[in-house]
Amino acid sequence: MTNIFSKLYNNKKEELYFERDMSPDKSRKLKANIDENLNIVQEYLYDCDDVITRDFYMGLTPKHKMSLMYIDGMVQMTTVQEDILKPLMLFARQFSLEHSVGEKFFDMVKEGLLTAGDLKETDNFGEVILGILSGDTVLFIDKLEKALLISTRGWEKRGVQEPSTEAVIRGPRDGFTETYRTNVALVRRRLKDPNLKVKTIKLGRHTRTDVGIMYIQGVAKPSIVDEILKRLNTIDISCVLESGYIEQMIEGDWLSPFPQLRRTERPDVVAASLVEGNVAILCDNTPFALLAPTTFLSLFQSPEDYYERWYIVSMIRILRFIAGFFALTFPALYIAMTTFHPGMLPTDLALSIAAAREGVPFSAVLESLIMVISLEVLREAGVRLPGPIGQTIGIVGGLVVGEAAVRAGIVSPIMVIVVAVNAISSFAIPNYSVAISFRLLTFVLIMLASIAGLYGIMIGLLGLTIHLVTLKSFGAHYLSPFVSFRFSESKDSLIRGPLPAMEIRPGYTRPQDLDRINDRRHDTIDKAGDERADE
Amino acid sequence: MLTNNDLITVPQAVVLIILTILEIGLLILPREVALYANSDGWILVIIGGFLVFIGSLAMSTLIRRFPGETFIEISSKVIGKFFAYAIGVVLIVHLTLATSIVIRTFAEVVNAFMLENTPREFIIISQMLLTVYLIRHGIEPTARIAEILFPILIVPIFAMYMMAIPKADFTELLPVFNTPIKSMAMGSLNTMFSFFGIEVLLMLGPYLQRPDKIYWTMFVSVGVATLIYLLVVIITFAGIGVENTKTLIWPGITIIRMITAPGRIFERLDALAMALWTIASFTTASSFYLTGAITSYHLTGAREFKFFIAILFPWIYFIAALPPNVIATETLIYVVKVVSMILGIALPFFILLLAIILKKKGGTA
Repeated sequence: MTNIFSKLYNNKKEELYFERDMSPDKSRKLKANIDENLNIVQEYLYDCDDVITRDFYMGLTPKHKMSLMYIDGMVQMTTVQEDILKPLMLFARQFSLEHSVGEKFFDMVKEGLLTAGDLKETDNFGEVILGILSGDTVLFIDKLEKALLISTRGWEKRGVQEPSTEAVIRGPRDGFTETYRTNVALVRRRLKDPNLKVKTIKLGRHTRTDVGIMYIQGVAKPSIVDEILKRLNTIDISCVLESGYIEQMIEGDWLSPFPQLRRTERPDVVAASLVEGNVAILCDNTPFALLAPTTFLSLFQSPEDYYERWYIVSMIRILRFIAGFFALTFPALYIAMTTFHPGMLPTDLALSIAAAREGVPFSAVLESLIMVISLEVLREAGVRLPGPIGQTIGIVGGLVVGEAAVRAGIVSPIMVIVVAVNAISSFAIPNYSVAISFRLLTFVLIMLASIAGLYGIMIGLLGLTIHLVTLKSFGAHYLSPFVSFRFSESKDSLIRGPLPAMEIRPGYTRPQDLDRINDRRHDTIDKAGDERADE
Repeated sequence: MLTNNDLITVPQAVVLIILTILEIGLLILPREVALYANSDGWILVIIGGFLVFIGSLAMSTLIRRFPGETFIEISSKVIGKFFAYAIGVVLIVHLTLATSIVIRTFAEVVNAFMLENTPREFIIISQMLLTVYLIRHGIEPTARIAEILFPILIVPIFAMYMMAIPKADFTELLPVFNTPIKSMAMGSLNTMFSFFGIEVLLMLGPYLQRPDKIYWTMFVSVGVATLIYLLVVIITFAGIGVENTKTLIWPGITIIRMITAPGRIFERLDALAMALWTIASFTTASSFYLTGAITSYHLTGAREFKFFIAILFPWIYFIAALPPNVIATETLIYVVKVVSMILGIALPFFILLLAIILKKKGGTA
């Protein structure tokens, strides 16, 4: 993979920004005549009724013709009126202007008159058109081969809300929104570090979506950052509507059922991962950020893991792994035990299973397939329907139909238990993408178990292990830290060690700066301090 | 830490060798030592393990003397191209045979204890496909798999044998030192054969990240394997008695049949033990298969080793399907074991001796 990329990008390694959009070329320069400029812009933006053009002149006489262009609904009208139109049209009349023509006039307008916070000059149509389409306001001035791009972006947007897919009991409640800048700010607020770098590129021929990568210089390994930038730059698709497009375009092994980038809605997760040496990819128009490199372990973690005390977290983590195991294998194990190895079960249990299965017309395999598939259908139905009806589906499907099916003798009650435990276990996995791929693999294991019992399950699990062991996410082993094992890393693996003991950052990101705790201040907090506080 | 894709670290080498050794020995070692030394059998395990370690010193020294060179290169330097290539061919045949008998034994045990009606060919083919799926990724991933599977395999095996302790009668281990020296010696030699698999290190020499730590690697791997064998032999003797052990084909598994898990979660553990057995057999078969492919790759100087995986595949299948019954398999196992010790201990010793006499040394790697 790396070879292909380095071959592709040998010559343009330094280049960060690629022009693959449909907007006009940057080489087309602005003209001196304002009407000519406006005509050229109209050439591009004809039949775009949402583009507003406001012609006006500065001062008392129509000597300085100017023109504003912006898209209705994508700009903050207060900025346009108070910081652009008002100074130019009203304030300018009250004083005699120092300069009335040429470069100096332009600088006076730019530096002395406009009160908008963020503006930049441009001399070509490429930037002008893209600026207008992104929500900036363009100011054309007559007799000048330049224009001003004034940042006035602002549109109707959702506020910062609690993320719905990653709820926590303890921890911050703010989640990302659909606005890229807000999301970057949410992370920046947590990391007031000049080394936190944000690089923005635009992806998608039609969408021109802002995609930013964030990393902490001096912690994240430069080769990983470069690799991610390289892969992002190879993306040349028509649209990027969600970070899922990016994820699928840059992941190393698209045949794998496992996600090779971690997605999150939570700025605190992004901040914590950045400090561990990850790189975050933020995408406009979606609250989901991507984190790379990713390990299998990190998909089993919740942000709360670091906020709660370590005993509790360690227990919960072990529980999650048990849940993960059941989510993967429980129906398959049931089939293997009942059809191939009934000798393994305690006699009483074997008898009660046999009694419960009496009158059930189907084999255990068919029975479990019916149940698992109908459960998936119920889950899908519940997701799509609006909240209250979704719950009704759960009750009707789960309780009423399940009970009726057992009464009617189509499935055995034990099968209902097996499938229910399997489903609940899969919901205990914090990451939805993994939970879903586990449920997919359950079907494979059911098939294998029906062919060769426990041996089939072992073949399946070994195959899965081989796949996971050979899988890499941006150069990091997916099963890190269990491969190339180092004891110091085991403190944050199946269990989570006490924070004062976690002295180094995880190794899979190969951070440049390994120390998590710089001076061992926790050593000075001793029992004596507690006693002093008593007095 | 990310390791170089071609090199294996010291812990990886250790677990790879342990998992290569642990396989057929676990099944039949208790019977063999019981036949030679009755209740002194467990002493044979210790002596055998010690002898294997001593024997492996020659191989280790050879790898240290020629760092970064393949065994074929080393032997061409010392004994000339013709003999080196002849040895290479013998090695390939041996490793192919070893892969076959490991898979064949596994299929037989599965047929006996887990899936009585499943065709043996299905088990052989499925196990081989799984192996191919792993080894086509190369040496380092195979070592990584060993690293992951080692605790998954060892911890439950250990727990399972521990469960037999309440039923065990340790007086079976008495009397001690009651065996004549001659049968002790023969028995120890025979026990050494249960450590077959150490010869894979010969081919992995150039892929070791720290060839300077090879003595330590060998010491830990043979030591751990000896301890596990010792545990199995002692528990088997105490659990089913020395005399019964002699009459069973696979006493190591039979003892698991009589164990009931505490709390009666499982009535019988043999199917579970077979599931673990899948792991043990898989790791052993994959490291033999991989070294076989790598030897062919060294021998021919081809650009890709994956090609040889495909070439060896039908041979391994045919040899695995060949023996008509368990007795024939046992004979084949014995041949492979003896050849293994010759290739793993006698041959390196011979080449090392010649290298010292001829003053041949590896380049500064």
